[in-house]
Amino acid sequence: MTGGSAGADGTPVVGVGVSDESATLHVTGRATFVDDIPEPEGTVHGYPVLSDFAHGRITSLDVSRALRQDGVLAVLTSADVPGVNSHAPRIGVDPILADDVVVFLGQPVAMVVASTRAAAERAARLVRVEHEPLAVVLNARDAHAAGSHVVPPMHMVQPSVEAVDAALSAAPHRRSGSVQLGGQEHFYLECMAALASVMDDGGVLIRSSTQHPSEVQQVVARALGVPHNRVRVECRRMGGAFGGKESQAAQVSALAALGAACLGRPVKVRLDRFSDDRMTGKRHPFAADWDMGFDDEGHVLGYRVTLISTAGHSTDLSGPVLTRAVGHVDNAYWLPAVAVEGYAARTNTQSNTAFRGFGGPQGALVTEVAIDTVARALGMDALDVRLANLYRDRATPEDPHAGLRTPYDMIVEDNVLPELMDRIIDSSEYRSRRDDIIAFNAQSTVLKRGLALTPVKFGIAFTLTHLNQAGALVHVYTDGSVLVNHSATEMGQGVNTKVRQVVAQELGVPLASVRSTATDTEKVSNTSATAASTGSDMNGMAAQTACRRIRERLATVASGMLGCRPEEVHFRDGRVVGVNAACSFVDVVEAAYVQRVQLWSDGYYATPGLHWNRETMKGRPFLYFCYGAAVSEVIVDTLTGEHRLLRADLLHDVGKSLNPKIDLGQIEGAFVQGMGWLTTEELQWNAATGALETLAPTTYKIPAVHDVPTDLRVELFDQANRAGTIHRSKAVGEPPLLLAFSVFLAIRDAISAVGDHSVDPPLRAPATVEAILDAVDAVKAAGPA
Amino acid sequence: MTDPFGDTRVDGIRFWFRGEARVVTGVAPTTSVLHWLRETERATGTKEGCNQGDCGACTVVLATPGADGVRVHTANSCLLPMPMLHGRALFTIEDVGSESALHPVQEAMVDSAGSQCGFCTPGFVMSMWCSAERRRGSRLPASRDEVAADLSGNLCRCTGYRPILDAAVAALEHLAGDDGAGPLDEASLQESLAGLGATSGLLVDGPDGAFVAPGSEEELAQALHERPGARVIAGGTDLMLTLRAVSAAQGAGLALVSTEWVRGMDAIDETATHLRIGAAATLDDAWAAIVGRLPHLARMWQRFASPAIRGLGTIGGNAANSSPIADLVPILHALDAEVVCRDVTGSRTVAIADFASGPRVNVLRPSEFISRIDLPLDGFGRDVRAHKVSRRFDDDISTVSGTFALRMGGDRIDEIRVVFGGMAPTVRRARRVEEVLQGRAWTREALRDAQDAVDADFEPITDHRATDGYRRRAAKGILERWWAETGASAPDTVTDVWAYR
Repeated sequence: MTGGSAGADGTPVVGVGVSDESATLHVTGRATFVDDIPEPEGTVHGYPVLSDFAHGRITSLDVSRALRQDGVLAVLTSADVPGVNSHAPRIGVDPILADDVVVFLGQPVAMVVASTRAAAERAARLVRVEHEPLAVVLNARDAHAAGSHVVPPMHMVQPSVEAVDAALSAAPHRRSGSVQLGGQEHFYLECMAALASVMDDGGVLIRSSTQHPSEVQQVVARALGVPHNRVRVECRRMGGAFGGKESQAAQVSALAALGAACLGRPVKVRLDRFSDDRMTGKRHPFAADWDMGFDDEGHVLGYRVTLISTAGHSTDLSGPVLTRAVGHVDNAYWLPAVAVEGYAARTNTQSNTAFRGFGGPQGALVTEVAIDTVARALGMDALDVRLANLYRDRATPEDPHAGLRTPYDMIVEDNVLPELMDRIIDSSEYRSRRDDIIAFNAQSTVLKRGLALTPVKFGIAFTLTHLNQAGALVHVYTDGSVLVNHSATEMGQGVNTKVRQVVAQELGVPLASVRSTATDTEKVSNTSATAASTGSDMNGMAAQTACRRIRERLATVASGMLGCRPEEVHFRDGRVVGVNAACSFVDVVEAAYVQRVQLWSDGYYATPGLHWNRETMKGRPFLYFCYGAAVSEVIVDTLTGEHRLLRADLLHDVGKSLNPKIDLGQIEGAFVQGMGWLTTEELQWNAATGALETLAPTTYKIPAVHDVPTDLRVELFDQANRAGTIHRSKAVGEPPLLLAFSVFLAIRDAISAVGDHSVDPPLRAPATVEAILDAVDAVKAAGPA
Repeated sequence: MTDPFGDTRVDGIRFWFRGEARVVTGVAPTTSVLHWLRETERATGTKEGCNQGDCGACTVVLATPGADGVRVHTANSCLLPMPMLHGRALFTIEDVGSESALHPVQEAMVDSAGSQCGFCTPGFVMSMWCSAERRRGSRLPASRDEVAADLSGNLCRCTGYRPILDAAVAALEHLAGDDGAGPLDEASLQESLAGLGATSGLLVDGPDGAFVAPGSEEELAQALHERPGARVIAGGTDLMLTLRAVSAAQGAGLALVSTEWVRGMDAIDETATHLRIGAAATLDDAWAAIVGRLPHLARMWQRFASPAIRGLGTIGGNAANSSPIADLVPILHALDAEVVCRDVTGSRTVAIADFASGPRVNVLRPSEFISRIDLPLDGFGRDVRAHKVSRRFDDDISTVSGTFALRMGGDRIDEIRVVFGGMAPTVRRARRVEEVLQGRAWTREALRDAQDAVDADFEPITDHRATDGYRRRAAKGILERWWAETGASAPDTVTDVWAYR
């Protein structure tokens, strides 16, 4: 609270499950996405020409035939880029249009601009690219073996390499294994799109479907060779993003801006599904090798793991993704001696990028598979091995933080895992269902049921500390209506709604009188991407600060009107209440205006207390952790490899929810998306050509309506965040994606039943019908049950 | 070029839109309704998610006149060429409700948080609107399963579907008890459509090609004869994808000849010997006729594409595609279907087993079309079952599918058809498997021999859906599932995860 003065204490707005601010616009089709914006007069259309080979030096680029087509105005190549030909977020180079070397199949080498999109598309097929082939590397392990990485290797060790080696050697039991985790196409329903117009002073305005307007601004300014203040980027909403529009929306925006700058007229670039899938990066596939030492009760004594991500052709965000993967191998477990190595291998494929969870799911799942293997080795229920290793206080005189120290030295101060696990074990009836399943599997030869309970612990903050900042701008107009603008972008996660709730609550006005507007680099500048689940945390705080500044000024004005001291003024339900008198919010606002009191304010927030040493991989990278757990029960057909999720119980920690309706939607949506990653969604590249073969929804299968279990029980673990976040809430975007581990591990459990749990199922992810049948057959082949 | 009607009259495309009759001319024969809505009408509520008929973001609702009244169904506007609107009513999200007067399905979607990013939402609302309005006043609350089936062609990446299903169930319940005349009231639709004055004819003829909608099979034959290279469009849900892929090369001069206005071509009737399904019968109508006689095939029907595809695509189109992974064609094989082919010289009957000659290649001559598919009634006396394996339950192409028809004589197999999709360049009967089983008792031993025979029958390929090895194993797996369901000595247990309760 600012100085304990005026308060807002009316009917709560925060914590209420109000509908999304755009819900009625969505359901009526009136919500405007980039391609829906009425085109400015003279708008023309860009269509990128994508390479049809994976690696090679361009020997000739013949655009003459394309140029002769009706309606074609220009064919732009890298030579037309006046400034820096790169849309790379921070390090490395990602050419906007390929220079002389093509590094993956699907890379834009030119862009046709034509009067209609159809004409541009037709002409794009007529651009001829000759090349001299270069060696193609598609497999991350091959690249790793050749020492080809996009960032330096990472090492995270606790307490020391020697201690890890010693713990492993001394452990009574030891198991090792390899895990293969596939990538994931974002499959935002709205493909990448940008509309660029030239402004009268030579600057450009870009309406972009982007999670990161400021980065689009910077990339475009650099590409056009103009200062940042000449580039304005606006984003009202995205039709889904999931990380895919964090760094890589910049390329399409840069293409549109380049077209606008070269032709002097508005240019729209909207990718079709095929081009989007061919051009843009996905979730990083990971390969992992692990080695775990443990005792008779399943306590992990020593753990060594190597993670190799498939970065694709360039750096993009592969560094921070790998950092988060390495930093999440502990998931929910105390690892007393652990050594993690991380590598990001360079391949001739799309440049993999942010995707909900940002490496965290990949790092954590490797350990969940290892724990599952340990349980099988000991003949224990995997849940009991999980409980044996769960973060909990194991303080000793030598180490007061034993049991709660992470591999990166941060202490888990807000641990709720033991309580949360107890609750879900109980509410899901895990133990009795386990008995039922054992009985079922004993008499069922073809169908096998499986059950798994997996916990989640996920750190909140950008690991790159300086990104943890946000701004907001709040305007109160003289009729009492309020407008809030902030640095986060809306992609369906509900940040605008939550921030609106915060603003309404602070000013004590009805929610309906607060409006959110498009994210705009001319309103709040130098913003961070809306990512790392931090949107509502940071922008909610920034908006709160802005509101409190306004409220203090209004309280002073109101104190004069109501005959009381400013600190006795309260704002509630559109009224301003003093000790003996009250008036309406509008009356106070009008009076303030006449008295020349500023009715708008900025607010700024920088997440406190964070520090991170990139060399040693130690520090306090996160403000707090989100927790959760899920129980999934599946049935598997051992003849075909088909499976079905029968029931899922989710219990997830969102602190004191700002909006339970939105948070439930995030939890369920993330769970189903994570389930898709681990089951039906398979990315396959042609081994000979490097062409992505599963692209677009015909061949790339995200979950559909029947994949969601009819028995889905979702609950919020409703406890205040111990960290001083906005109304003690917690972030929710990414953490619940990890709840889907339970589906993958339940499938493993069902397959394991084929061999009466004596053989570890070699199940790769995604667990497609073929992956499951392969694992079933391997278990069968390993010996009779 | 002459047209089959003896003059060069271009009728234009007549349809009911936004409460009035519209006549559209000057579009290409393949201009999609989605494109027209967004680019010409600037009605941007309908979204492009994939442009392949696989995501449902572009879902619209059509009212289609037919012999039994007006049929209301969804369609993927990205796969719907403008001329196919002729004689129909088109409804889009802009017709459903406004912010101040939401339709119950919209209200339910708002209340249940059925939208997050909002991009797929208009498509879902259209599917729900169609589903709910069809049941208005029915007093029959739809089950969650029925609702899910109606939404199985719409993809959402944000919500995980639960809130959308909740909304649909709530709205359908609400409307089932509402006796008011809804926006899709049949009587008023009938009147609107009758007033269009839409007839068969030449709907489009311009620099980008022609779209001919003949009124009889004779005219259809004549049109194909007079326009060499013309393509038959019988629903177009697959043809539109093919044409899009080659449009740059073909471009001008493309002629499409539609089956839609051919009188009686969608008829389904029964003679003393055959069930006869007109080639222009929709997939849903064809499936309904077959499943009505063979109830075990109900799940296969449900898993065939999506409601929007099944309401527009036709059995003739499905057969003529000659895809090796078609899901209806194996059933035609199991029932010894006869394909009645026709051109200006007359008609001939081709056994379904002889129809497809390779992947997407068949024995139809240039200018020949499928008129009808005849199913001998005798085949319906068999126990016919079908199973498909794919990555996903809803709206997915089979990796392997098997259709099994069986007639027992005592404890011996008297008659057998074993048909696989996805195992060969065409859908094909497994002749060795059939030989192994013919006359045998349907025992586990017979099953093992049948499974071994799969390897003799097929050399499947490896592609992005599966390896050859998986296809073999899955084919043997569904053989075993079939045995578990029908075998004399089989344990009476469910072996299908989708049937497990």
